[in-house]
Amino acid sequence: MTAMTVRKRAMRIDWATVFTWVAVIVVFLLPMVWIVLKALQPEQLVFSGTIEVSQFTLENFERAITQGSLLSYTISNTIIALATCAIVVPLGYVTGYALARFRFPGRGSFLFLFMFSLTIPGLVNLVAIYQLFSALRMINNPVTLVIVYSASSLPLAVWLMRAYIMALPAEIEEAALIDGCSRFGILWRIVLPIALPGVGAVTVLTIVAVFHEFIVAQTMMRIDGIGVVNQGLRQLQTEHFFDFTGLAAGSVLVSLVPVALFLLLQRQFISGMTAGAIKS
Amino acid sequence: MAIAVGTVTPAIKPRKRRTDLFPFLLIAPAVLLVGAFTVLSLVFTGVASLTDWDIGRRVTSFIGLGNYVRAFQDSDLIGAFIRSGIFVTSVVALSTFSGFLIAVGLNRKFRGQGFVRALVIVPWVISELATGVFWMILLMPDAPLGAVLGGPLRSATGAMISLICVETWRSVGFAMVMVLASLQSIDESLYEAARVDGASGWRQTWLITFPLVSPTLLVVAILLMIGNFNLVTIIIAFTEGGPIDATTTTALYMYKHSFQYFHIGYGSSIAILMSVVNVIAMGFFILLQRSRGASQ
Repeated sequence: MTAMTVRKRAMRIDWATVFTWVAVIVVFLLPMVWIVLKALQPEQLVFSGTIEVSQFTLENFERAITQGSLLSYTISNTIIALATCAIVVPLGYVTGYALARFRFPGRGSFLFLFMFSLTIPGLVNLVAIYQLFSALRMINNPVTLVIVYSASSLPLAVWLMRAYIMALPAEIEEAALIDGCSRFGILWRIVLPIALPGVGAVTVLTIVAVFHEFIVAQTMMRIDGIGVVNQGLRQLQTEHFFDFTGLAAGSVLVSLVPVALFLLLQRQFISGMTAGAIKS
Repeated sequence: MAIAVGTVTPAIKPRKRRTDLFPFLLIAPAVLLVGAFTVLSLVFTGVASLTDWDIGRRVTSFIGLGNYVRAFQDSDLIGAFIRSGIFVTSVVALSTFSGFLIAVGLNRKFRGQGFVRALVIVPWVISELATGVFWMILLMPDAPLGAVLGGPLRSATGAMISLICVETWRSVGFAMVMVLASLQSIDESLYEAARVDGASGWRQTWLITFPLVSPTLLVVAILLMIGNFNLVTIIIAFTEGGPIDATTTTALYMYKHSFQYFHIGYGSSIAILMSVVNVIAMGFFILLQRSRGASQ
């Protein structure tokens, strides 16, 4: 009897749920799964309406990796992402801390600077950035990308860290100060351990941002295999436009790192997505 | 939460009468890096927009507002602004609205809720370039979906509609995440009261949820507006601005002038015009955040 009622209730909820499921699966899952499966099919089957499981092959991935220099781009992209984190995470942390905990002259204008830079996209500055680094003879130099990515990721990192630290209780810091802990000691030994989830969110978002980037790298770097993964995919697209299965394999490969990071660290990722706008 | 911190903070501050240099020390590197980039680039672009800087010209000279006069008479640029308007308005309206609906649908407990939520966010996580590339493949005239739709990328209207749909597909997850976050703050008792009064699920959604979430929807709309107005990567991969110039938005037009034709002076003036649009949108964003902060 009870089992029956439970089942009946489950059936009643099902209508809305089934609709959500079907809509979401058809609109979001199907296109992505289709591309992954087509990337595993031989070239001549790219436009067929069926998937031939017996003909699964990795040759498209091999072609994408060699023709798009994807292995080399992945390595250099990873190094650039980590180097950017090495700048953005510590600077974002100390700046966010200062803006969360201290009142000082000019604080409002500094907050405005970060908010302003957060909403001004890199594209409108691209000409200026290109000319600046060209004058410094730093075009085709991966260090340039690290500097540009750091400058463009910092506003969100600062904003996120500030919001995170503002939500932490300040009493422990005061107690530590009274106990004779140095101010840098507070920053390093007291606040950092409890702010680690926020630091984690900043790290994930920065890495994903660098793996998403294309336009700055395409403008500043023209060395085959050095830069970001999207350049490898673009190289495939411009040089082998009609190799559709190779392109499908390439789009799967360049999305692997960001999607994997998102699936592993969903909570940090989502808190980062909302922090920029929800908390003020 | 912000209020609690605000009352605690002064306890650290009034230790010294003189200005405490410690916070300045902490923020200096980030302020210098970000400030140098944002401010210097804007100044540089502003100055460059007053010159006839062009790769094909030996001598560059100041031409006053010549580039701006040219911009306002350039029918291609005006067309690009109109296309940007259509593109941005459609994407913002569609993704905010469907993001809201999906968030409301997901805000109940059901099996696989976490999976569905993750699935909607994944397009926002895939690289823009990859998104453009694989949707181009899916919409090829010979591909199953492209064939059903009659090869949408071959016609001007079809290409624009496809671009709007793909960008909406990508942005819905962002809107949904933001709405879900703000749904958490709605007091459950409001719904209980409505249920006692006999309000249906739909009426509850439109009369309680929607008004309470609408400030967040506005924030989402502004952020998506700024993002999409400056979007080039996905368009480059998807249509390259074509067929002819059917999907060439202002951002792509500016990019082409600056980096394909090397009309640096003219490209800069378009960048400045774009910045004006961005700053206006950002002004609304800041005002909105301020008023929300004050009301809380």
